[in-house]
Amino acid sequence: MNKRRDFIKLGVASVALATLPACAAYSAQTYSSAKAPYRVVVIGGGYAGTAAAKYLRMWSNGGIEVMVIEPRPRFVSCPLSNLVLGGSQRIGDLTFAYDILKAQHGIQWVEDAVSAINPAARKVQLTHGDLHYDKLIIAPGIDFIYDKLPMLQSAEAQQKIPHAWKAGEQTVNLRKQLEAMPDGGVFVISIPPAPYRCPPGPYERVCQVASYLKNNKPAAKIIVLDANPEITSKKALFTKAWAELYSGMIDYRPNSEVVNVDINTRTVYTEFDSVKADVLNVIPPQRAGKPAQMAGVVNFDNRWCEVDFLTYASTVHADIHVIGDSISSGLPKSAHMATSQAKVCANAILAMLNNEAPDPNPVFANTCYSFVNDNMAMHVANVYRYDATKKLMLPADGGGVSDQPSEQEGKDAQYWARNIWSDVLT
Amino acid sequence: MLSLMPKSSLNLCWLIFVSSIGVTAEVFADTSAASINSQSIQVRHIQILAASCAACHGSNGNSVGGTPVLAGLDQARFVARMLEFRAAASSFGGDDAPCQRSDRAGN
Repeated sequence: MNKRRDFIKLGVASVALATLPACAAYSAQTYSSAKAPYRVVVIGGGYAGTAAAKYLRMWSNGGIEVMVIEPRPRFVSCPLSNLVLGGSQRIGDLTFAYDILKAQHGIQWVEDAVSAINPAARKVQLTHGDLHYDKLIIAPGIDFIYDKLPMLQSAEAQQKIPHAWKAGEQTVNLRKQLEAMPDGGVFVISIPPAPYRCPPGPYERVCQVASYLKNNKPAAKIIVLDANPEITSKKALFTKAWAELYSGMIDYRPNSEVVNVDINTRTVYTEFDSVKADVLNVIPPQRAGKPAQMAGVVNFDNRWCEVDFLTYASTVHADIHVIGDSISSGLPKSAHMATSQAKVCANAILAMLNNEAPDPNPVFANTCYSFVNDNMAMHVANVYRYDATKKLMLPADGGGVSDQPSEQEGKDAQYWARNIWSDVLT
Repeated sequence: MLSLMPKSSLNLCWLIFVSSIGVTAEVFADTSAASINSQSIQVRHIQILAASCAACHGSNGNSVGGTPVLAGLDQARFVARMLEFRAAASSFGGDDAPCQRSDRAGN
């Protein structure tokens, strides 16, 4: 094991340092890595990356150096972000600084983007230098596939037709478009083929938009173009909620993959049909995030990363671990799942760095709440265990979904969010 | 405030518990003591198991609200409570149902 502790290598070291805020902040850290025998670099500051970084530091008693690379200055939660569209939550309520996490756990932080990864040399190249790692964790979330819809790839196109599938500016944009939509207008949402981030998310979004329209533009309609043959998560609950809360408002069309979009007229084309929208939300098909592509660890369906579920090590490169939405697991791509995988991965890395075996039977939980209006939610919850024969995480018996949405579960969902934010950000 | 725990969430807590029935007593006694130093397989298993509860119950069981604080919970009490969960799983309800939870700090 290479135990070098090289710092960011800058082309013109000290001069450049003063002009690069992110690197300057890094070099100014009082935390010393001089005694740390290993460095783990984590790419991505979402649910998976923050959880991995924190638990690596916590479970090693600060014994290893952990460095997170994240280009965005703040964390914006995807969970609860559909409520911004409904109007009961503001994006600022879901936006957090990384400062407490960094300070409480002595996590090194580089606000920069990854430009290349060299697995043979164990190096990550950034815009402003490069970093050596002993272990690399890639947690970049999703990337969108625009092969079939290249017209939606530009920032200008997304200004008009946002995906809003990464919480932030596009979420706010979509909300503003809904506010500006005339009563009697048509909102069209396109759902990509599974697997995609947050299986119930699109259907929750339909509820949130319907909730807003019902109260503000009751003559408006919603058309749901789903590439899948049926609602992919909590089907019975969503079907019932739509019928009971938003009767006559939602036109759900399964097996309706969008094949073309006219940006100017906001018209979407499926194989047999076309629909003109007043507000159009196309959620594109998805794959593993760009850093995973750069590392060459996307080896399933040309979209996702195969991993060993005991360690989350890539099946391509043993020193590169992949967690969160980028992996191929057959499990829901959720925030709780991402943190659960992060903890198994962190624990296994500490074992491996100490030449010990990881837990051979990991067990973890996943919970996922969906809001049907401003204050009522429903959940799906499962426990997953490692199956040594199939080498997969499989659901245990006894999990399940709510009987019905309720205000109590709406409160539970808000408390869930506060606890998971606290878990990954403090 | 006391309120009934959702059925499936209850099952979730129970399932997590039975996954480690022989060793769960250690879970909240010492979840943060792992280090780069040697740890037994059993301790690693428990750490992962307990850490998964954090999404709802906070890091190391320190809930910030809405769910019980598990950190520092008396071991015997914790085990007894989970066993009561199992017994009540098919007929929960009533004032003394073990699947009730009390809100704690933060709300």
